[in-house]
Amino acid sequence: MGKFMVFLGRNGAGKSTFINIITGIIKPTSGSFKLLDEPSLKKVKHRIGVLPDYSTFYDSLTAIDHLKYYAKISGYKVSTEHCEYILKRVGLLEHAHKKAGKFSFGMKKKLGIAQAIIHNPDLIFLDEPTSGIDAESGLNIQKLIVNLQKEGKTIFMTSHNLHEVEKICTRIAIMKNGRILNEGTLEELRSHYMSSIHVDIKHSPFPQKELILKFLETVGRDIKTTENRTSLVVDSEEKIPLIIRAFTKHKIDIYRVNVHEPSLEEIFLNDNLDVVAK
Amino acid sequence: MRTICFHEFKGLFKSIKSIIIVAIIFGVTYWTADLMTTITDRLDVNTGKDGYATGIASIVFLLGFLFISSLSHDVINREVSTRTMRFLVTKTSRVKIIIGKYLGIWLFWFFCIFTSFVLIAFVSKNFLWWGILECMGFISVAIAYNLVFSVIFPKPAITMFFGVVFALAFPVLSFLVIHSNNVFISWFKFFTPYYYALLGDFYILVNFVYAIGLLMLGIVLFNRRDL
Repeated sequence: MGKFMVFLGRNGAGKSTFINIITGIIKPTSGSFKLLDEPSLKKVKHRIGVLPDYSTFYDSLTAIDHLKYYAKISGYKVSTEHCEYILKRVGLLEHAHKKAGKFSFGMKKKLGIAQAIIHNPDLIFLDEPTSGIDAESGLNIQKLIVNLQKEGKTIFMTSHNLHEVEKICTRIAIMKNGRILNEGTLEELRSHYMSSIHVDIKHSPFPQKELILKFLETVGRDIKTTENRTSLVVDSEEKIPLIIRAFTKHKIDIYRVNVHEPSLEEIFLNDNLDVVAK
Repeated sequence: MRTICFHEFKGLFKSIKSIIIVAIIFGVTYWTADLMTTITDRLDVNTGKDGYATGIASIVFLLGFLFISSLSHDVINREVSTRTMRFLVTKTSRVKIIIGKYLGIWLFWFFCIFTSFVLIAFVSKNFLWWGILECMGFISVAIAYNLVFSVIFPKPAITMFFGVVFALAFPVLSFLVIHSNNVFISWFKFFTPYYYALLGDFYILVNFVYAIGLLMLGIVLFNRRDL
């Protein structure tokens, strides 16, 4: 199983620039990097696949012509059957013999993904692979990306679609002003950026309301209670079992506990990002 | 490199402009060869076997830059502006892209010139290898100039305009400096492929070295470009 890293950031954060530098589209002004344990990009070009942020193709060539051409440049000779298999994977098989000049934006995007994987690379860079694609195709592309990862490919992707990222990626890097602010799994980022967890409890009526309220004030804030419902905000998950134990101790039956964890969108829009950047 | 070369070579044959230019070259070649045969027969003069190659050599020297510019002025910047270059640079080295594209155009012109000389051979009963070498030496420089311009200027519209102006001005300036006695400007003749073509003999080989120099300049400039 390969690794799957997503770069998140607002427009101008440096996500595409990062991919462009790593893949040789833009020349770095300084610094160095290693790809697949090699300090030189030249040596590993045949092992990487790239979908740049904007894909255009030769108008007079068909989808299959493009795939054969790009595979050959990468040093591989591929059969028509293999090209058709790749086009099927990206959902473009029915347009295999159509000239790229007649392709829509979404179809070009799919062809872009197909050319990135035609030579079976170990490492794949995808710059916003689902932007501009209809919902159904977007889901198919997401499935394809997940399958590629399962096949052992390592994938670097940029995206603005936070729901998509939340659903399919294993690691996230948040970028701002050309720097990676933080990197980790979604859980790690949640715990890093969010200090407010909303807890909502449905329970039997309080026998001694004052005592319970006194306790809740020690573990949380913004406490709101009705006869059989209590909501509050705690700063860590560890406080939740303490609350449940206290309720049980006071013989209050708990029917339901809802814990609202922050979504990636909430993390992404959080002002803490700016604080860390400083 | 070979793949890019053949892609460029095939692309040139598909263009209508290419077909027109090839037709002009073949037409002039045939007409010149026919004219030479008539003149030598009627006037009983000996223009020598190379006389048959005069037509094609003239058209190459006078209009070569213009023809090449009209077909290949945007060989690099077209792909940069449409961003198809981004796919190429992630798959192969920039050096191979430049050399591949150069060789593709070179092969196209070699095919045209070679076929023209084959046509001449039917009339002259002699295949003029030296004539091909002379023309290809000159064309090599013209292609390299166009490639360098295409790397320097980012927009195809600019290279089209600049290429035409250069193609018209460069031959005139070259012949002026070659025949000038002014010491301050006559040194420029060493930088024009016309000089080595006119010197003849093995001097025509200098044009191949000249083309390699320009090609290396193109590679250096392209290596610095962001795409």
